[in-house]
Amino acid sequence: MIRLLCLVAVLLLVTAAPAAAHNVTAGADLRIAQTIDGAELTVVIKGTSRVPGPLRIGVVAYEPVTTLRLGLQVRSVEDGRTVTGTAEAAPRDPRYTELTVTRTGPHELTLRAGDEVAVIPFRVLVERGSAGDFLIYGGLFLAGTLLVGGVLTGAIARRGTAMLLAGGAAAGVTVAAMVVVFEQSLPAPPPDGAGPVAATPVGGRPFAQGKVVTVPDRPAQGEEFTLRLDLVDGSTGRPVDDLAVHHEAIAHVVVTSEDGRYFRHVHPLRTAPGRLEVRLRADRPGRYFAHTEVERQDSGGQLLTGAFTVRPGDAPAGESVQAAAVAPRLQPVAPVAGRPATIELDAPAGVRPWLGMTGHLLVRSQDGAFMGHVHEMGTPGSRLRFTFSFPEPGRYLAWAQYATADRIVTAPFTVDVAAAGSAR
Amino acid sequence: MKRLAAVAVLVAAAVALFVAGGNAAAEPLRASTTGTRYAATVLIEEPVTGRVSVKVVVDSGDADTLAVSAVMPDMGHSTPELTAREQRPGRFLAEGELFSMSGVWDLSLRFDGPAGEEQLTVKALIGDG
Repeated sequence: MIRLLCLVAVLLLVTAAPAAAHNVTAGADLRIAQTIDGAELTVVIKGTSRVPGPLRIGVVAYEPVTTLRLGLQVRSVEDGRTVTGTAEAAPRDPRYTELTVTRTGPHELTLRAGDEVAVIPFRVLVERGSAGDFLIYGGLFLAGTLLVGGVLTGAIARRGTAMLLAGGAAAGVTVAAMVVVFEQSLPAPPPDGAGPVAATPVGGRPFAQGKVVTVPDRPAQGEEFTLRLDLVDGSTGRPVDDLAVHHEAIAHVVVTSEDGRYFRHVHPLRTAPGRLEVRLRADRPGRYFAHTEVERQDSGGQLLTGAFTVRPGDAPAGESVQAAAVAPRLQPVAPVAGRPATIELDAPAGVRPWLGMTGHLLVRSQDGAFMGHVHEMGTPGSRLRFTFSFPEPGRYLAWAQYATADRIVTAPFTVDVAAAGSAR
Repeated sequence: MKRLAAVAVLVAAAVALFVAGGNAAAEPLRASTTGTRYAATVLIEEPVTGRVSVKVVVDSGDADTLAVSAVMPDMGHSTPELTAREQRPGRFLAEGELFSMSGVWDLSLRFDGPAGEEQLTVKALIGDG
């Protein structure tokens, strides 16, 4: 009978409540790449362990690494309380600006640089004490108190009462001991400030549709323009404003000219709900592709594609890709469609992680219909190694990217992929 | 002694259930949000599927009208706007069907007034009605 009761109690403890899922973890840095005022930066928000408490914000510069001052404003969406400060971008170990937040929950960080403004939504979360700790310490406290009471009562010869108190003490010790054993299985309480979570996770949100436009409509060669992406939920028609940070950005936009001689991998600013914008300058007239990777919260990633045209202009070319001559080593030498191929490049010493990875490889089919984004997986030595299965035969345009101490290097090359069976 | 041990185990199970399962019931919703023109607090005594009453207290801003609608991001559900009645200045009440299933919903408040239109959103955990 006792064994049966023990088994029931164990099962109840293990299955008492469903596990909750969170997109943000208290205490973990939030890192968001932003292309702002002509610079490629990563904004780092360090969480706080209490409220009121310090929220520390730093900005890491990747290109250019010259000093750039940014205006910061943190606003609680719940009560509207706003604090402001400034941050200076630095290539490494930025000086963190400390702003005080007075409550948990949804907030907005407004970044200002030049005449550009980005608004980044985020949640301030603070961990709570766990139910397990409460049970362990509560159970032991109860046991200790009752044992003392039992001994005293026994001493004055009230046997029944003493047994009752001893029984209570045994219950307290049992609770504490069982929780020590099963604490790992107990659900952690949601942090203070976390959004509501459904008891039954659905898993996957509807698709986002993206509309790509330029402002002005047909920018001239060498002229600065804004590439705008409006995201709309395919099921509700509402703006998509729930993008998750993936690979340290809410969106990765790759802009390439049709001929592949222009390449930019940028991280647009959220300027309004569902609206992302980035300023660019294209150095040659013609047709351009914009491939955008986004990931909605609790969902998988998706690729949105768009195209625009740059007309000939009087202005000279405004910028060019920081291209490095490169001779990648392919394995097999003639990659075959549908089979893994490995691309290896030499890299200088001192490559630093960018967007959470040592290296990135962007691969585009010649017609722009396909875009792949491959990550370097931690190859030892001064090498970058990527493995990718090219989906179809044909010529692919490829750009490998990595960050050094003073810039982001882009190494362009092409890969010719043979059809399966053609090599036999 | 056996009885005593059995009682101890039962007490342990009851305490664990109380702590771990204490948040299972749908609790009244109270959420505040601020925009650039308006700030408001939303109160739903019984946030469940079916007919609900949504009370909105305008904490700042001069709102003439308020329309309430809802979206369930996980499922892509969307419900039509309910026009809220202004019971007295700064206090609105919207009644009707907003949430077609239990889960997490985004409740949108579309204010209009001399300062212009603004839409604010709060998250709402909806239980079964």
